[in-house]
Amino acid sequence: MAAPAVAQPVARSDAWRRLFTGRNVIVAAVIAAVTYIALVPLGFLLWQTFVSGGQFTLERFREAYSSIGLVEMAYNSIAFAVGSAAFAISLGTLLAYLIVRTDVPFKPLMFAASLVPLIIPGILHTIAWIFLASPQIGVLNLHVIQPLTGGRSLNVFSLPGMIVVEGLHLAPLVFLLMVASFRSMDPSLEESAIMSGAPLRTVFRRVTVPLARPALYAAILIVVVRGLESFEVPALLGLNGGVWVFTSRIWHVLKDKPPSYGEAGAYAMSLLVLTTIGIFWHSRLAKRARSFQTVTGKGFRARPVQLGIWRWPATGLILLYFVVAVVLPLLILVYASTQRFYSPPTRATLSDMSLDSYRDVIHADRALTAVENSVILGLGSATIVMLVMAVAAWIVVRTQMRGRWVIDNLSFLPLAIPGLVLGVGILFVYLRLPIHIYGSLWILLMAYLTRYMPYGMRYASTSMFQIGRELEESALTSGAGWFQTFRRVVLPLLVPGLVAGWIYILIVSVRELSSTIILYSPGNEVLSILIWEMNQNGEFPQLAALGVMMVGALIVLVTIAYKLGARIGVRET
Amino acid sequence: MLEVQNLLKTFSTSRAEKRKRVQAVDDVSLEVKDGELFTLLGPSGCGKTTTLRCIAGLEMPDAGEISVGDRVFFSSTRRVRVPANERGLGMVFQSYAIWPHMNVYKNVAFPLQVLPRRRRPAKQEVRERVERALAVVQLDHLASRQATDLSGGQQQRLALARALVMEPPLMLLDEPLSNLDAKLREDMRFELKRLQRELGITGVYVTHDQVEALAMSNRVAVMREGKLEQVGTPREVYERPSSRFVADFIGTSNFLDGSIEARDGRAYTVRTAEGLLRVPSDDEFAVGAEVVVAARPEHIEIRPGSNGVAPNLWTGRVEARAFLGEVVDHVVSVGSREIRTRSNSKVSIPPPTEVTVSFHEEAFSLIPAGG
Repeated sequence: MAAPAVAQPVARSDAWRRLFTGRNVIVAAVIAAVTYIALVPLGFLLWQTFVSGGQFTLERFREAYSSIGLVEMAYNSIAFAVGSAAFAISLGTLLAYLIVRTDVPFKPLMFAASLVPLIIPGILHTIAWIFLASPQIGVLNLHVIQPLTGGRSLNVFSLPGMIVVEGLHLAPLVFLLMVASFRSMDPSLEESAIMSGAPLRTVFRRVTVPLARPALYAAILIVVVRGLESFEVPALLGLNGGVWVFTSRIWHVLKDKPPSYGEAGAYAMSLLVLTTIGIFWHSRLAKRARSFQTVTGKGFRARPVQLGIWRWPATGLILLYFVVAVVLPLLILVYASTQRFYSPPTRATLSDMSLDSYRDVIHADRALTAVENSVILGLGSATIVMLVMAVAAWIVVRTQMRGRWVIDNLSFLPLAIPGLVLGVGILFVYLRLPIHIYGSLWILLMAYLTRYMPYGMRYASTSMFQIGRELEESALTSGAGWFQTFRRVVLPLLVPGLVAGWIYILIVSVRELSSTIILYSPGNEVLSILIWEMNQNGEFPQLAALGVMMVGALIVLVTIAYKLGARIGVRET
Repeated sequence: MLEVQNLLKTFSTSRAEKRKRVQAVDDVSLEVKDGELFTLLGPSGCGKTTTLRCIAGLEMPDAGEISVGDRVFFSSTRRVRVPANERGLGMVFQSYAIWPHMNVYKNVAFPLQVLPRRRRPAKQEVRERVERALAVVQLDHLASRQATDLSGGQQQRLALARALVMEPPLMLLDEPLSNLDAKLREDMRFELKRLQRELGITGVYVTHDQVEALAMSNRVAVMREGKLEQVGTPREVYERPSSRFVADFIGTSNFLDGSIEARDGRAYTVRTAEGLLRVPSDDEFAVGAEVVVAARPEHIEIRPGSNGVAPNLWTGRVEARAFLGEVVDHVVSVGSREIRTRSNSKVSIPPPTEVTVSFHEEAFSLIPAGG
């Protein structure tokens, strides 16, 4: 054990060399990337909207709100978001309570249904509902509602229609959040209330609900923001019924020739203000809620509540939900894919089915291009995001670096930016900066990296927290440098979390529409854009066939992600 | 071997108390000789683990100097900071920190595989050294087992093998036995001691368990609030605690406050509220000085009946009795004070019985008041 030579005092040149170690270079690059991705589009959005010829101006807003009033649009947006959130929250919470706390049957059915928003992209869900409930061709209207009501029909192209369709898509998200909350609640808290002599409904009102409140606030925030930034439903249903919201308006003014960037910026800023208010409001509520949050994670389960006579209506509700949210949309898509020209199902059309549309899609060049582009973008963004965020999560969770919370917050920032707003921001950046990626896949990649950075951070930091600090320290004391430690100890241990996040990003990126619709250019279509274009062109059978295949592929991906997610305890919808 | 001088490490506390800094290690100096097992002992939060982590290089001290052999690892005045991975010390963590994604063999081979290329041994030598290290801890038959499939005791030994394989000049052990159950801990204690003596390992051992510290170490340093309270052999620390804290932390003690009444060579007469005590001590105390007499329960004898009062011979009444298997504890009240005694299980006196309390001289240590 010959001791090596005495370490000499650090000379100046040595200090410089230490500054440029592999560790510092990688860390600096990651910090720079996160900062650039999070801040630059927002900065350009502000600049382009408020500054004209070097002067502060509100001119863009005046132009933007001259055609349709700010009040009307804000009202529509908020009514749509709050309405669909209220619908989703009541439905999702009720279902979650029934599943977790009562003896209702068909529980696995509900969990299968909760995967639907991941499996059926919003655009397919919305189109399926046009087939189901449009006043002219809607199956439900023709075969159920009109015979029952004597000629009247549901109108999906109206604010209530939009609210229900969006609400159905959001309900599973609420369901999953509330299931987690009800499950993690310590049953002894409720049992002690029962032992104190309170009847069941008092226990529910005075103990269960207050304990679930933090989760409820979180769920409300998420679905309201989702409602505000939703694009598919307002664009496909709202425009038909003349119901303008911010997102559909942004898309509309950018589609004009020439596109009015100023107006788009003004709408985007308005929407951003709304979502920011939502998040601010939530953080205040959450702060107050935390003081009485005593939910602990005990391993035992409370005895399920016996529903008695209410068991049958509850069962009915679950079955009805499953049929309406899962079976009907999927069935109508499958049906549509078997027709040559879409018309509502009758005996004649049902006896004349073919798989021609599948053949058409498979042999169409544009479909192949779209699949290729979607796969490239999905794999690329998922891989880059997870690798960069692994380092970012390490910085935030493991180091004592000053200002590391800034990195944490920056990486979550895009969560508050609606997809269309982000699209506008990124558009401004690359129209202005001498980086010529507009019109190529690269600009879409930038958008996807930004949108999915928060998810990457969530997955990476959750699994980083699960790795004991000592596992890293023992590698250091064993003589491994930073890079060796990261590559040989940290990364392998992070792998399950990183892979789960990677698959999740792959899934959501394939369905991404709201940023893509701003940024794509002809020749760069991805799957969701192709479906959008097919819908515009009225190619419904081909659209349905493509959709069915897409759903099939997503089922495989979601199943893998769910298995992995369950293993490391990370789930995100 | 290891030399630590004037080590200082502060932490800033939670954001609520901004700018307030806690002295985790406060001017600690110590020296560990070749082949010695040196223990840092103290309650949680006393700074023992922080001291160890400073030596390992996992924490950067604010000031001081750390060197092993003739290699300076840290010096605030000479601006030397050798990173943890270049110090070449072996460390065993409290949680063992076994890498779950590697098997037993790979865990142990890791320290050799990450050496800089020019110092990295050849594959064949790596294999030999890993096998030797595993053989020492009797895990050689489990080399291909996944590390997570090992029992607690085996993981413990694996962590030891991983630290040994580098043949480090100094081993750092951070409460390595605290995660084992009581029986296994006792076995491992002897095992670890045997290995340390046989391989001539120099080690710094951190524990909060006084029994472990007394049983294993060549020398013990008792820490309190970031400072070294007393350094000595286990016997010295146990029999001649230098402060009330040390006497209280190691073993159990009865503390009797009093003042020096007379001195006769090495023997002091101490007056307490309950009576006189005759206490031998090598330390210097002036007549009239306030002192605390610490008396170990196992050197206090009780027998039924009262034979009058003399120095070290008091009268009291049994208040409570507890049968602990190997020994019996009694709580005896003398005046307003309760004294705890420990005797072998044959002595068992029911409360309330008048007893004579007899202090043996080896029961005592004399500590300055406020110490």
